[in-house]
Amino acid sequence: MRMSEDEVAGLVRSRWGELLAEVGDGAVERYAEGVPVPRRAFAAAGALGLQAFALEADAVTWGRVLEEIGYLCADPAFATVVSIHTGIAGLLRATGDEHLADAYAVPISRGECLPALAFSEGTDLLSMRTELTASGPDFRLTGRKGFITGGLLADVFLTYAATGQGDLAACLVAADDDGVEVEPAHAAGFRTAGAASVTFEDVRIPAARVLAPADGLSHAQQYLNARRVVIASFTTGQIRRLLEGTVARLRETVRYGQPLMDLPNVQAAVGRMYIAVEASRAIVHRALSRLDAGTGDPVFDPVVSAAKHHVTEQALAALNEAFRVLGGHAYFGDPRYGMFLREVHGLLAGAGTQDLLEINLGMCAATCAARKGGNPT
Amino acid sequence: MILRFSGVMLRLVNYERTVQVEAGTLGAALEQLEARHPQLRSVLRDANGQVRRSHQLFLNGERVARPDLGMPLAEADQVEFLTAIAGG
Ligand SMILES: Cc1cc2nc3c(=O)[nH]c(=O)nc-3n(C[C@H](O)[C@H](O)[C@H](O)COP(=O)(O)OP(=O)(O)OC[C@H]3O[C@@H](n4cnc5c(N)ncnc54)[C@H](O)[C@@H]3O)c2cc1C
Repeated sequence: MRMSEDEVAGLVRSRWGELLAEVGDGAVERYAEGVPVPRRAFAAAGALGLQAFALEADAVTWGRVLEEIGYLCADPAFATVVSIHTGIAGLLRATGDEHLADAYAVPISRGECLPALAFSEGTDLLSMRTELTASGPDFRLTGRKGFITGGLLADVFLTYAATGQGDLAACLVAADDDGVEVEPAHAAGFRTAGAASVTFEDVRIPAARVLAPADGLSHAQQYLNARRVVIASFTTGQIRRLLEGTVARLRETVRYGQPLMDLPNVQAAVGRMYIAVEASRAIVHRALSRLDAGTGDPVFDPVVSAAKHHVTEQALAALNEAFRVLGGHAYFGDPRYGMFLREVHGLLAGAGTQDLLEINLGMCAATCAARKGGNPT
Repeated sequence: MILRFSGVMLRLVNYERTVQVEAGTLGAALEQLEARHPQLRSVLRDANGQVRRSHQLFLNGERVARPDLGMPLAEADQVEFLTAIAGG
């Protein structure tokens, strides 16, 4: 039977609470210096079974675990990066290829091998320039990828490259392969997530590391579809954390003889933040349930995309409320508010830009409007 | 029958939202379409000629999960390709 919300919260606190507190402790300093979450945090998580749990859990349970991690951990990058690791491990395991499972999925699930997604390259999705060409029994990879979350930490990249017939292939590249160069990216936010770009210069790729020799676009879209609800899950937890921190500060800040929290305009702002949390939880839960039931589209599920879009907008709205009612404290007093503001702005572009998701959802709705009921789901 | 396109696919059909073809099966309809717009083929179909999974196909508003090239089509049918793709 599936665990209740309270049971998931209890499990996360008891199994990983100490680790999450430890990772969160140095977050503000690391963020200021642009230093990624230490590798040992992922190894420690692996030793405590976090990544392995993700691979066995149903989508709803893992989504709730991520919400709790987002809520408990003061370093917003931890949930972001660890969920990329588990998403890629899941993808590798799903290939059914024993080599990929043993060489990558298992070490990733132990936090011993850290992967990253190297998909974007500053082109549209039908014009990628990175190339994978056959060379005897192997392949050669040349190109450049950018905006890679967790790229500085990565031992291996899941990347996508054109194969020459208007097609994309998916393959794995090790960070220490000859011809691979990783450089830090100076990001506006996600400063503890180890953002990077990577250049591939005639890198030899053994055939065993080619995950999908063709139709890599669909392959990537399946990963990205599932990724959207994962992002929505931990971001929901982070909005909860924002709400709680805001309320605590408002209770102790006295102006003209009364706590700010007792003023009706402040209560209304907090009420709107609360609605943001509950509305986010509702749509995320519905999207996760569809993944479990297998009722959503694996390549582009409208509810999943609506969840990522909605939670991002809710996070921005909640931040706006917090900055209004906290006065100078959010801006000058506690850097964690600014950190979250920067992270959430990353979600305007990351995991599908908000505009493109809106366009896609509009197309889905229009296509299905002809059908009885007209519901895109 | 009418084939409909939207979004990023429009560029590949010369921005014609609807294309009229006469064919008895999906495969034959695609052949006609690609004869007019050759650049479409590699985007729409894989090396085996099957429609790639990143394009959802709707027949008269109903989703066809695994479109078969032999799928019969009638004159009044409308086939819509929904290409909902986005980045990482
Ligand atoms: C925080 C963050 C983390 C990221 N992590 C990763 C990662 O780990 N791995 C990875 O590979 N990539 C990653 N990315 C990159 C991300 O996938 C891209 O930034 C995103 O897909 C948008 O692509 P772009 O930056 O080229 O923007 P563009 O495509 O240039 O978009 C700019 C604007 O044009 C609009 N636009 C684009 N195409 C269309 C269209 N067809 N119709 C109408 N409007 C359009 C967009 O909606 C947007 O408003 C990350 C990005 C961010 C911000």
